[in-house]
Amino acid sequence: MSILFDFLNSTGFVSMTTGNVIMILVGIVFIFLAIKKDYEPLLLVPIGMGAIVGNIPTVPGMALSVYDDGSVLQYLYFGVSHGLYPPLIFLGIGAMTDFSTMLSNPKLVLLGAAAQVGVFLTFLGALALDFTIQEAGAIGIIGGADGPTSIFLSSKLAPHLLGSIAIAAYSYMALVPVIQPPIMKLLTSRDERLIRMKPPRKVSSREKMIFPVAAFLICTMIAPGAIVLLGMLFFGNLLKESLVTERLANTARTAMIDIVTVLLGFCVGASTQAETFITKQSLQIFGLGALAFAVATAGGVLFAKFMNLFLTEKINPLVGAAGVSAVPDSARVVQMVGQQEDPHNFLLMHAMAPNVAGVIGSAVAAGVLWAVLAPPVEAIDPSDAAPVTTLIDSTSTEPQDMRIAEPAYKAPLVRLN
Amino acid sequence: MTLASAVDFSQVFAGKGMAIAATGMIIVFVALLLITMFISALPHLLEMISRILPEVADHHAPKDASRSLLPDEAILAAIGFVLHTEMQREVGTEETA
Repeated sequence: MSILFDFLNSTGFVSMTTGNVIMILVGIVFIFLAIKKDYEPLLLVPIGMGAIVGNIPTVPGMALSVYDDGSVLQYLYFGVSHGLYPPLIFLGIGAMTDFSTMLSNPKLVLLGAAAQVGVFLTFLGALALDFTIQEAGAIGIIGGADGPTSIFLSSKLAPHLLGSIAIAAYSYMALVPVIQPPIMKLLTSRDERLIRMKPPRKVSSREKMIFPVAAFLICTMIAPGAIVLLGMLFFGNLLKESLVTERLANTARTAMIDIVTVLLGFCVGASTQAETFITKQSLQIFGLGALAFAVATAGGVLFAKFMNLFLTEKINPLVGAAGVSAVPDSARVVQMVGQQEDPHNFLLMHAMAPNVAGVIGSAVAAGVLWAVLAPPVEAIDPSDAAPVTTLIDSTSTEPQDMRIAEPAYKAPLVRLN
Repeated sequence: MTLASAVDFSQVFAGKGMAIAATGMIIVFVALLLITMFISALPHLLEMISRILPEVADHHAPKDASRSLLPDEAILAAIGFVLHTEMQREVGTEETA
């Protein structure tokens, strides 16, 4: 009889909390929105299902959740917590990205830079809400509107906020068609929205081959922290544009990115356990995330208007909103808003230029924040290493000293005072 | 707890927050500005390089997408047919009016 009671006590019904129920409902809502409303289904279905899986109460002593040592979910979550999956996704993104619109009108690249103001203003906003400087950096990158970049940086700077940041980033990326249009219309006049831009020029294959290597060298020499993300992005693009590695490019942009997306989404969802997710900090992060997207959109649009003061061939300011690197949703939003004013004004290909530039810009911003805010790794002094005796010469029966350096790295979170 | 009490701007100005934000923004701008300048110069650089290493048709290169798969006469015939159909429709509309 006691065995029966022990079994009953180990069931999820006994340990289920209100927070678990809420998070399971959130997961179901995500799945509903993905299937019924077609809101980013490739992300919301894995995340939603992961949230349901992660919020089933586990049995004490059994390694079941992402936070239990030795559990299967923890092994899968390794790619999230150690920043492995985002660079692989960037490899796939690079293999499917066409930079020719950016190459044909290079001044639009600056709109992608301007939109990154959302990252740094949100960083300041997070500091004002009493987050630590590392946490603020991880929250600020939500303004880059890039899911993999957000996950990568938060895994480095604030792993305990990874779930909230990832959910906020992907949720707002799905809401780009809702968030951006009012801001775009508020900041532009009708005459500005009617501006037609010259068709982009044809870009040669040589330009497309040289660009990824040169752009990687330029960006990473300035911001070495972006080596991982930009290296994979431009490597994937080179696979595509070189024309001699089509098989690899095809794999990167199809099977590989799909596998990683499934694992990433599912593990991020599974990490959103109620006790770590339903906190005041999560609510603040969601609020800051909305602010980040709004500021990034406004930054791109306003910078386009500023550039028009000096240009003879005007830029349609709506295109600036595509500097938010939610590819290709924000470019589609620009097309939609532009066509509401003039159905014959096709802005999509123009908007793709700042859109892909924004991916580069957000990766550079993440590299800068990581380089500046990551806790320093303490140098290991070999003379401090503890001696260990072990047999290393198979022919000798005498034990020989072999010094092994003990890691002295400790990563405290630095509170800004 | 109101929003005003939750926000503390002294944290923003006290430490290195403003400096990091400003520096980060400048670095992003400089990086993308250099990329912009490189992209602007790239066609001219390639023109100079092509004088030494002319670009030859590579068997890996995709076929020119602007070349039509149809003969020009077939395209002209199709355009003529569409115009004729539209004109017939307009004439028919005017007669009924």
